[in-house]
Amino acid sequence: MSSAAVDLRLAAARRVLAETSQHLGLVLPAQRPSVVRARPAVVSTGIAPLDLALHGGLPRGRISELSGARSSGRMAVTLHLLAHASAAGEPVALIDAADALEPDDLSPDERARLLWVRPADLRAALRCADLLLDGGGFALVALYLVGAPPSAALPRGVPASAWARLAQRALGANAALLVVTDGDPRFRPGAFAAVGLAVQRRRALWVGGAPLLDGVEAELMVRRLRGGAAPAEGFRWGAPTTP
Amino acid sequence: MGRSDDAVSPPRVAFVRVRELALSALLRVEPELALQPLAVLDVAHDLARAGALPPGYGAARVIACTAAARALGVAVGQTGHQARAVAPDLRLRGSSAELAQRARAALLDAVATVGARLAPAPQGVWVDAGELSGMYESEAGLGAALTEAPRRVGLAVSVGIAGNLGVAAVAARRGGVTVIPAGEEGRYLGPLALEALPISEALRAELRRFGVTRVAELARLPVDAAGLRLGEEAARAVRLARGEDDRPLVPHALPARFEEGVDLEWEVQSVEPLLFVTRRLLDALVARLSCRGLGVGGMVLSLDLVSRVSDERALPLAAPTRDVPTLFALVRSALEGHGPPDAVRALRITALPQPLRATQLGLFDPPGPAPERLALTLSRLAALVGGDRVGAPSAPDTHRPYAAAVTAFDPPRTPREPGADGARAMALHVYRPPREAEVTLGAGAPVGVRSGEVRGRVVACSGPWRVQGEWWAEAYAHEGYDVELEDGGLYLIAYDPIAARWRLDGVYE
Repeated sequence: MSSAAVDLRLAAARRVLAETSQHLGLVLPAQRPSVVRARPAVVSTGIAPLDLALHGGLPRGRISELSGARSSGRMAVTLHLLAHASAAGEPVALIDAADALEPDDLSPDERARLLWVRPADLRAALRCADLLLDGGGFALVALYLVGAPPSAALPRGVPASAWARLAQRALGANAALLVVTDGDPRFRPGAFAAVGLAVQRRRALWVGGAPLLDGVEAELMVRRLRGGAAPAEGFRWGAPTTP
Repeated sequence: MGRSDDAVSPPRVAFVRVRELALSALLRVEPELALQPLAVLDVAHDLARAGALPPGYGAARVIACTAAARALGVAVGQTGHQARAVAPDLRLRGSSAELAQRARAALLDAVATVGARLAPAPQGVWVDAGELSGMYESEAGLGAALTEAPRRVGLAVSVGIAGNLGVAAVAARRGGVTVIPAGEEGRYLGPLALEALPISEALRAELRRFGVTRVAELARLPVDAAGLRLGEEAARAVRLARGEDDRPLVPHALPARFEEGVDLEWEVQSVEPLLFVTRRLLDALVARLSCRGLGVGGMVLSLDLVSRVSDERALPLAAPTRDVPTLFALVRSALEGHGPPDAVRALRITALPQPLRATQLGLFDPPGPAPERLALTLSRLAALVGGDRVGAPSAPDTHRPYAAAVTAFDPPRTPREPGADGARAMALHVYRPPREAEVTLGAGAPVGVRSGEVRGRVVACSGPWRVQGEWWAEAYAHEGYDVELEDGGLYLIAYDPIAARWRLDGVYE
């Protein structure tokens, strides 16, 4: 719950208390300004327009979804969100169902703050997310399902019951769970996601006479947000890392 | 176990005695036998005869039996044949020195939670009670604590507290907690029968021949004359009968090896029965480690096969833990992943002890997982996906493309300066393993790519980026190209000159 919502509820509670006291003829002690020491209810994305659109960042205790087409920057956005979330000192985790992470894409300090889990298939990935959220203490857990090997136990993708369970776990752990998919409805959290982000590739950037791949111009948008959505501004990514 | 030099005669000594050690050691790892008619014989357990009756069981004597066996008429001292005659369904087991040794080690671990100066004995452990007098209201309270502690490792004990080692050991044979006040040793022992003293059967028979049947009668014999006529043991027995024993308590270091195992009654080929046994062994191991404030940092699973070969498997853990379900999941994944190559006749688990991460979190640190909770989570994940697939990502010291490894996850608690918006380079989604690709060349550069669902004309390309190395071992060579296909996908393709083939290494994401 955001601090604005907390303030609104407190004001409403005070009003009801005052009306009841007046009705009963009670005298209330002098009111002192209240201090709400709520834990941050969001994990900042580090992308100002996106934070603005999301009222601060990815909501804790909720599922967020990031989807996009191939080469749209899904991994780069995921790593950026993880790195920025870990900067505050809270650990973060990446459940990499496709074993796709290139460690050189992260700085040594970012690597030290990231728990990298490489499950064998989709089912194991969901189980890992369940265990991680059950353990608690992580600000952001990214469940990267792009290219995840199929599981014989889950021929129709991720069942709704699994998303419901993960949503409960995320709530209990006060962690933001980011699910990264390629848009296949079988693997999307759908209505269980409080935030839906989409990344769209605009064009590849090639520079120089003997061209070098310099990045992709992509746009990150908020497709779904409980309480209203606003599109974020375009967001351009930098140069690739070549081996 | 190391012997320390501070051997002194303490003013008060407690002896913690395991009741029927051979039986207790067996029931520790096979508790379901407690309700069955079972007798333990004074013959060594023979692995080669797993499933059969112990060799020479007919003439061997029963040294311990369960309550169910006693109810059928089985008694200590009967031969195997006699016991079988009164109870045809009686299960007979030989005594295992290995199991007894593990039970003694577990007893030491448990008693160490009460007292620090301990000396092991064949049937139990001596404890320096003098140093503990200030910690308990009475010696009976100390006795109760010493009785309670071994229950954690599945052992039932009796306790004797007296002024010296010998009398404490005699008092412990009575059962429960027996406290003999200082100076009352001789008076306590006097009325007891000669059988209460730990002396050989031959000496007991000799003393009976002299008409000595009570301890008080033995105490009246002159020490020197008894020693001269009946030997040194008789002299010691007379001194003990008078309540005297000048042996010092020699403290020993606690056992450093944590191993539990069981010899299977029948050879086992399938995994399920092994897992059933494993759970109990892990319970016993964790109970011991809990007494010492340690966790399991890793395990070695040993399977003794019928082919006389030992199948040993190291099971590393990401972080020390005492969570039995986690350890069990680790063993299960090891056994189910690679079943035993042959029938198993014995199973052993050795725990590598490590201190648990007991860290006080800082008042001003950002919130994060408690170290013990994090260690448990890591262990559970490692049990699920494998220890080498959980941890902080690391880039190995090699130029081999896309090499990746994990290191122990121990995140720093201090905040750092976040990067600027959008400063992150594009990331590579690596295909592990790389996919086979067909590449069409034009003017020395790729013009078309085909690999599974990835196919199309190349609209832009840069490269090659050449890397090669490790010619002295497993040589690698790599000529990478960044390509953009007509569908907009950005890929990293590479030609391997050693294998003379193209592959699709990853997609830029």
